[in-house]
Amino acid sequence: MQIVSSTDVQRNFKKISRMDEDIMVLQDSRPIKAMIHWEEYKRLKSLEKDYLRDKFDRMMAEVHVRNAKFSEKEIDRDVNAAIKYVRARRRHKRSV
Amino acid sequence: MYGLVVDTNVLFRALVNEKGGDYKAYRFVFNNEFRFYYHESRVKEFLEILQYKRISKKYTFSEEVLDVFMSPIRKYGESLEPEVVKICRDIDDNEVLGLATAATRKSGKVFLITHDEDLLDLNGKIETVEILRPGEFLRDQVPTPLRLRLR
Repeated sequence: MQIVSSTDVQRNFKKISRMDEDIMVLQDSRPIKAMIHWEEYKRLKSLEKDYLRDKFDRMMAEVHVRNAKFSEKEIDRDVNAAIKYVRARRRHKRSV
Repeated sequence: MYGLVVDTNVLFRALVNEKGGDYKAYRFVFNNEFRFYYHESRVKEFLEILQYKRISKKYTFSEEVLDVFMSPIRKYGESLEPEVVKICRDIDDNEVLGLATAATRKSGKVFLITHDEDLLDLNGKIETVEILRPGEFLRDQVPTPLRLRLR
């Protein structure tokens, strides 16, 4: 990994952006940004998304099992009542 | 890339129930095939609904679950200011619709997924916004290979 200052990045962006290595950008001697290849960025983001999606699916499966006893009709009734209440309260707040 | 706007009632059903297509429709927030649009007012309404007594006492979901459920919206969705539309009787329905019409500026065509009959009645009135129930969206708009992957 190359370490460069933010001033270096401003002055020599073209040269720095052509480096093969990952780059750590410092400002006032502190790391503030990393520069990596676009393909690597996409790969990391995709891994992160896969991880989050798996976690999401795992957690939601548990929640769905815990609430499976409620019928769709019942859920509809409850959410519609809640929406009605929340919106009426908001309208009331707007009017006063 | 087509846009996707999910109404509050779909979000709640997706949170507590995997039947009816709501969960699968919401899960598109992770996919690259559609761009997910939201506005903070909708998120706020959803969180207020969860605090409604009958909901909070009856249904089981922890704060952690809620974080995990909501995080993809902010992480992968795009926040947009709704346009002012005055088509529906309900101000809040107008806001959802306004979000969808604002999203058409970015995505061209937008699917608004809802169970709200007033909104569903408006399907076909705005050329670039298709208003559908989750099941209809999954059946008619999601390409078969993608639909098979969702099972």
